[in-house]
Amino acid sequence: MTSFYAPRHLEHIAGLEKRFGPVSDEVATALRSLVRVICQYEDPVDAAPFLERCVSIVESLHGPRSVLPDLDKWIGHAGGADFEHIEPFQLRRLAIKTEIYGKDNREVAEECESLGMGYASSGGYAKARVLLERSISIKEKIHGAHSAEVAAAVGLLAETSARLKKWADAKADLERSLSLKQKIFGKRSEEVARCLLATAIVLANAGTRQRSGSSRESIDEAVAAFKRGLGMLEKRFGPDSLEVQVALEEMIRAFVDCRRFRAAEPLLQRLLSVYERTYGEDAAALLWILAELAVGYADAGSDATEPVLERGFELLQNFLDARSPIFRHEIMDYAGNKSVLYGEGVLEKLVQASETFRRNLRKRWSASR
Amino acid sequence: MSSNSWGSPDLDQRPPGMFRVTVADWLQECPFCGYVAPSIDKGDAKARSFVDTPEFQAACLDPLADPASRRFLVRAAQDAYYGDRRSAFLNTLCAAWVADDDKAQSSEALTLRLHAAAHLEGRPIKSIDTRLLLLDVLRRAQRWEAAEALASELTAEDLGYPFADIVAFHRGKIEAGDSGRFTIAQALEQAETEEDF
Repeated sequence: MTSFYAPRHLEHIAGLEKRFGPVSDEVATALRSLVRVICQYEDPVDAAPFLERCVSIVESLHGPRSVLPDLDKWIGHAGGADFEHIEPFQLRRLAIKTEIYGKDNREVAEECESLGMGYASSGGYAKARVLLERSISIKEKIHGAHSAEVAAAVGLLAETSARLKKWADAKADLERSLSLKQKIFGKRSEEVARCLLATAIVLANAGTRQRSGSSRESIDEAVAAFKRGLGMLEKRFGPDSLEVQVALEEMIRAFVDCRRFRAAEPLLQRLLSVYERTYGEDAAALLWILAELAVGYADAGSDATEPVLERGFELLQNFLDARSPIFRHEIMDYAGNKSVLYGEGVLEKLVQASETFRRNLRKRWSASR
Repeated sequence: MSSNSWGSPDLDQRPPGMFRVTVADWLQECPFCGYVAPSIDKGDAKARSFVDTPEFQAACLDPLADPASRRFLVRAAQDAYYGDRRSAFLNTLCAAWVADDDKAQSSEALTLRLHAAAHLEGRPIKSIDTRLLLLDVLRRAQRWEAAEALASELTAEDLGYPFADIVAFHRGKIEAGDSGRFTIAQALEQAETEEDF
């Protein structure tokens, strides 16, 4: 026990136990106070044993429903702790809600989702999937199979499988989500567009684990899905809109992570033109795109490497000469500001590309190849 | 089209082997609009707008007899129109290679090399690769003074192997007034021989 407050509170609780009995409202109230103090000033995980005692007493005195406020409060406080500490209390809350509200209730569905997300956060994919599927099935019964609520729940399942890199499941989940969203929101809706973009990223990642033939097919499918999704966003928000920029960037990063420069290159070129129009041709925000292009071109031994590298180093020099250079993780709201660096590791990438380029150049000007 | 390129490339990077003789097939031309590209089915908005320009019309009407040379010049005109000087230079150099293969057009080849070099005039060039290509182009076009000036500039930069050896080879040929075709292997072999000696 590491709590500073616990020893004195426990002395007081021992007195209450003698006076009112161990299973009494007085003892439960004192334990609840101790839990509250620990949550407020110390690590909520240290309060877990006292909460356990408190809810056992309350449940035996007043029934399961009366336990929920204590559990809700503590789970709320312990949100940042490791899921293994929260899991038993959340399972208990799920069991209580199922008993009180019935198995096909909205509260139970929400609890399943919350637990599922908890398991997902700790890498417990199988358990997360079971709970998220249970939530979907409850929502189907409550709202109907073709409802926005079910679409959101299926979307959450797809997002979870993608986050945990279960690409085959993620692909199937996204297909299910796409079909639902097409029926609910319309075939050209923003929801459908975003689902297609997510599908493209999953397909790109799935492609890296397959054999070369299937992998190429998967990348082709990713490119096609992205094109469709992006087309819808372009119509809705405009070809240079922030939505389009974000979609291009996310897809580029997925292709680059999967070492698919060939697929990323046209998107990088497109985003470069959009950025040039939005932020200016000599804005430091362009650097990450130039760095990715330089690395890709250098690795491919392309003639395009050198001009891109030259431009990259020139921009970097301008940026270093700027009076007040700033670094941002988000680029929105910085249109026209030439001194904002966006994207990490730009210098490293440019240098890496430059090294590869020089190696290729020496090879090119040597007699044998 | 064969892509076999065994052997050493020329000092202007013209590839060796069977690939060398396929130069006339490196670009396609649309029989309807005259658009020229490595693959004419991969045109873009830039290409579409270029075919409406007077620069495109002028390049298409170039009096050169050889269609392959003309295709490279049309492409070079497009590059120049969009400010890509290096690509304009390279495509004009390719047109010179086509002329090199036809002995009757040797003066044409020289003129085309001068045109190629003209694409790079006006702004300083940082690229070692481009300057080495330009050095060979100037020497073969018998622009001795310009070639020597560029060779001196490159020598002063202390470029190291293999670039310094190639520049030294060029300086020897410029001094001898030799505008012939040589390979990279020949240039490096000479440097090795001189080192051994």
